[in-house]
Amino acid sequence: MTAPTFAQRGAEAVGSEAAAAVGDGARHLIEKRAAAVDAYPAMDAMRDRARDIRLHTLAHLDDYLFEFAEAVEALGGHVFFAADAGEATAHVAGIARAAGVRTIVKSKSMVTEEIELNAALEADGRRVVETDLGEFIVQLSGDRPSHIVAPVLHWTKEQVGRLFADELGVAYTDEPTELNQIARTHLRRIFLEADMGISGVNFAAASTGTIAVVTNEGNGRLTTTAPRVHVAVMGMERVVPTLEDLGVMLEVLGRSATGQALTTYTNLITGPRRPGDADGPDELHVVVVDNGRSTVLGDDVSEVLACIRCGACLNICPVYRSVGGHAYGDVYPGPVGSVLSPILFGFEGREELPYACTLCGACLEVCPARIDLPRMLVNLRERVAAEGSAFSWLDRPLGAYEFAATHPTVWNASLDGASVAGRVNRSGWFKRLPWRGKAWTGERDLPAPAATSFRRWWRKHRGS
Amino acid sequence: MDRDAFLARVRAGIDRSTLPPAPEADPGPLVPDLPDVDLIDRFGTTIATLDGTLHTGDPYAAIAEIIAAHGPGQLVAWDDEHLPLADAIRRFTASGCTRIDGIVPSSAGERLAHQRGYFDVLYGLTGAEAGFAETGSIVVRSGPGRPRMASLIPLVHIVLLPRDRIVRSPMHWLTSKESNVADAANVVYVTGPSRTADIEQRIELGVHGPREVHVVLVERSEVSRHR
Repeated sequence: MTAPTFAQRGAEAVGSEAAAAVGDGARHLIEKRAAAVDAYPAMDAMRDRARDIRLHTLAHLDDYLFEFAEAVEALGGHVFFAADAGEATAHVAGIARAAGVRTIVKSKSMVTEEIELNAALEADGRRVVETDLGEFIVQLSGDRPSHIVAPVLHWTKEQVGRLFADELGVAYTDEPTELNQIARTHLRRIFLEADMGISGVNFAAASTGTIAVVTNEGNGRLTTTAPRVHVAVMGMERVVPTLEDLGVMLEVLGRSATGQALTTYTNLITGPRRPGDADGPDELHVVVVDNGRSTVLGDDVSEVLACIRCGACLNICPVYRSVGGHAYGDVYPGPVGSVLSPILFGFEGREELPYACTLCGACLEVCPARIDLPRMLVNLRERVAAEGSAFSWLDRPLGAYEFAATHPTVWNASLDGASVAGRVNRSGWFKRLPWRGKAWTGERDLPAPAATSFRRWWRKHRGS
Repeated sequence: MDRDAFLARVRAGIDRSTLPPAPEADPGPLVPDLPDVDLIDRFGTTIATLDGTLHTGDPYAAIAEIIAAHGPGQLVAWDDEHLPLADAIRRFTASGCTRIDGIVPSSAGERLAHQRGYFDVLYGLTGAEAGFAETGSIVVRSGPGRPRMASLIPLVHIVLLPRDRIVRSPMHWLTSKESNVADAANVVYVTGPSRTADIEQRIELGVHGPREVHVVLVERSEVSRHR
């Protein structure tokens, strides 16, 4: 039996409670982003600068990685370069073994999920505990994250309550404040007793060897402070030239991801604990991971390595908001995942991903690094088409939409009706359409039409 | 993989790549052009939206008020010489609080025993290098006599911030010669209390770090920047 395709997973997801919850969560996040961007007059200029810094770094990535490694080692840290997932996980397992580690705490990191680090460490006899509340829920339940920033968008508080009651032996509650308290108490002891902490790296500054780990909960700080050994796993493209450049990335990351001017904790780590320091880890190991990234770098879609993992393209994407994160089948969902995954992990079984997109261009509009995802998705479609793959589901008639789009009177009437009766939300999208439109907006948002349709404008202006 | 081989593979990728045009030199930072504001006012309104609190009056009265609200408990603090307010630690101990030693031993066993003592810390008392008006953040630089845990492990974090250390935005500070982030193993921007919105997008405070952050303004610091 072959694995289900995106279309099969998507068709199953559409209309499900979980996908609806992810859609609502994503809409909420993108509205918060819009408010933060409106409130910050420098946002556009910062995005331009962020893009320039990212692209400049990628064009000189080998030099900056060299400089970064030298700086970390000069501070007494260790740097390991891992060609692939196998090398990375074997190296981290080796560090744990050498340090006699029993318990490992982890703060949320996409790259460690990509290389399936937990499984490798557990197979080697270590206990690995995820400490981001969302990832903790995912780990405890054996589920998978549905969003790169908010992993349990698809969970209800009642489900979390039942999970905690079953797995942690506490009385059932669905009160979020109490659920958080339960997690705090449970995880605190583990933090204080763990021998090793594993974090990701949001950004690294080459000139100083500084790594930035940002979290809202503080689990990133505890992970990198309490245990005696800190292992930071970074995708090789996370580096920027200087700390000041890193500051530019922080300017756009929080605002784009969650609408925060800054994430609660911006943790800047420059080497292990120094002589005389009151606390902090005695050992620092940085693992720089390629795992297909040098292939991406040499590909037509190399620009995607400028991504800073904010998730804005997921939150704005009408397809992601309809099917949720799981339908994409990989660690990286949404538009950025549809570009990245086929190149990182291979096209086989991922031929449909470039088509999981309406080419509406909204992801480009919100991307802090202005990455041209629509262009790359078209590029990948061409390559899939050249391979001769065909998708029967693309031929499926789109019913009312096709009828309206090919019958101008119906189309005009529906647009007029929509602008009167539809409810436009903050981001300029229809959330609910009346009458026949209901079925459409039940599963997706429709961009709100301009006050005057193009046809009407043309009639008025063609003489002038 | 050997470092040279790894970097050679990266270089080969770059040579094949079709990256969009990029500046040949590092474009460098951008200090945002932001409207002039009263820095303390702006800091106060911003931190309030983050569920943090700014105390602009008598700092001793603010400390007394915080202790009165929570009662006595354990305290992790920076050493007196690193705090920009005389006698601050004694205000806690005189009110029945117990100060826990903030120096964590290096050996595995002793470290574990010491950190178990952090389980129920109520108060953390630190200074701050800077405050950002735009974001409501404070900057804590850790080091000798300045444990990282003091701003992380307690339920209530009290930050003593000299008034003249509030700057317009993170980039204003980061590009100033005072910042020197790499001078310490750990520098953290703290922007309000610990928060999560993981369960149904509802904001909850204090999931791992402090539930309350009180920034107490003090007069111009007599303490030099300890590096």
